[in-house]
Amino acid sequence: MLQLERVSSGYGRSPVLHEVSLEVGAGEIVALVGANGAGKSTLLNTVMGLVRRTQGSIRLEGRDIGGLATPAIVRTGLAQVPERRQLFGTMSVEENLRMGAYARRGDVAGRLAAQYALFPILAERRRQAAETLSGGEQQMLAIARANMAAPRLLLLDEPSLGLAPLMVVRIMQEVARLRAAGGTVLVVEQNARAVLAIADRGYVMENGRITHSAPAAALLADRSVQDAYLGGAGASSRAAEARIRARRAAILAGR
Amino acid sequence: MDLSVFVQLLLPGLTTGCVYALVALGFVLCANVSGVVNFAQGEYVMLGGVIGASLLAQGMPLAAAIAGATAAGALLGALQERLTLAPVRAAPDFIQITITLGVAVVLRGVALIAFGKDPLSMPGFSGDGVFEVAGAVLPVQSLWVWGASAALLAAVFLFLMHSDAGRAVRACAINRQAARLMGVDAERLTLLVFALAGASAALAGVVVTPIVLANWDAGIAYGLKGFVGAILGNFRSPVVALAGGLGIGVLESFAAGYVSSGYKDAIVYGVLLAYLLARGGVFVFGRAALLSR
Ligand SMILES: Nc1ncnc2c1ncn2[C@@H]1O[C@H](COP(=O)(O)OP(=O)(O)OP(=O)(O)O)[C@@H](O)[C@H]1O
Ligand SMILES: [Mg+2]
Repeated sequence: MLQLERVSSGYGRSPVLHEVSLEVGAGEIVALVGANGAGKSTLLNTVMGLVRRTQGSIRLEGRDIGGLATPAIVRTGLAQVPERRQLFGTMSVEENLRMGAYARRGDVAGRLAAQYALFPILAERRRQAAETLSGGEQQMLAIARANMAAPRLLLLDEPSLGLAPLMVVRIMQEVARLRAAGGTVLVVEQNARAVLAIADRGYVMENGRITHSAPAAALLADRSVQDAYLGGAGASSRAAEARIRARRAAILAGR
Repeated sequence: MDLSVFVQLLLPGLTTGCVYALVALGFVLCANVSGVVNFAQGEYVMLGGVIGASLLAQGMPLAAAIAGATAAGALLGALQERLTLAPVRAAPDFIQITITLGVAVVLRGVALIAFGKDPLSMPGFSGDGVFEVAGAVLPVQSLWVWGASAALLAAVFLFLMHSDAGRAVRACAINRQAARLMGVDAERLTLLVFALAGASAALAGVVVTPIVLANWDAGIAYGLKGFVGAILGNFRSPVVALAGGLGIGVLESFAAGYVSSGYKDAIVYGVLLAYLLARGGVFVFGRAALLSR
């Protein structure tokens, strides 16, 4: 669905991404993990047209979207849940959701109803200012707001940031649910363990370059990935991989 | 205190206050979508007045003259944005702000050349009669000013709270980057807001002309006082900016009536200065308002 080929980008004169190639297939959850400052957010913002691509091609279902402005990119069916949520704090929950549909209007009422059904807590809080929601509720609102654009592909930037462990699991379950409902997701995370538990495949980014790319379970079991991003826990073995699969099944089953 | 004197100062103060309030609102809206304080804002009041008065003098019907002046305000506002701000969008804010000061000087100069140095007058929209409230005597035109201002404010409020574009303006004010991510085209929105601000200031300028006359050099005072109102609202709150604009009109009128008209500006700016010092200074303010976006 989304294909990046040797994409470079950056800010002014400082390059950040160096020939990044990455692919997300329809119906997949793909994780992008990496340390602070690796360039993960820059990659998502380059795809959204907020950061200028200096080289390479960005295709959505074969069409090059690298030269489009952000509104046009949103209309092609991409939406991003930005890092730290970036809600419109003093606007109501419902107004935030309506903003999500700004570039792709048409059946806004239907989409609102769908998001309220998906996140009943938001329906309860629809008239409340977004900044008065709890962190977990704010993350749900940020996801629902992006869904309002009816995206074919959702880009999530660190959805677990600042959330308690239970809420992290909850959010990951929501992401898995989006995919189960036919969505496709590219999710950036510091919390590699949480995201790789629900992802199909993962990429590791270091200093603006992709260094590893493998099925999620294999990345979780990979020694060097464990050392760098999972606190070195566990040994690389079939047993570890089996444990991971069991945990993944548990999360996806909503337990 | 004599009530009729009080009312005789209060109500005309509210009349000029309406104009300041609309200018203040224009300041806040333009600053929030474009990041630029448009110091030419007050000139659109002046332009509305001189254009409306001369269209009428050339024999146009009143309604057409009002509409023409308002449309000219919208057009000039849009042109200012396209020609002088859009090309330098990437430049630092203070450069863009300085450019708006230059535009103000140019607009003033063009008005002087095109419309002459003598004040232009216009008859009241429904005659030059007066009416009496609580012992105070006011021109009937005051009702037009209040009515037009109330209608404009209601329209702006409806636009901001209940239209997609208005919601996007507020979203830009809260978080520009997030608004862009929703697909808001900030460029188009900026153009729209400059046109709206130009139109509403020009309309305000036409409706007050029968009371205060229209003069090529009147814009700077409207601009400064509207700016004070916008500062009181921290360049964020349209509602406080409005109230601030009205309050300044009243304060000015009381200062002129109870103290001396020679001191009214000194008193208005003195109050602003005291307020800014109490809140930490204009620079802290400017930064808080403009850099927090
Ligand atoms: N707006 C910007 N202007 C200039 N440089 C930037 C900007 N945003 C990010 N950078 C730089 O780009 C590099 C990559 O930043 P980026 O935010 O993409 O990293 P990240 O992988 O998302 O990190 P984190 O996990 O901390 O969010 C960093 O060196 C950062 O300083
Ligand atoms: Mg980041």
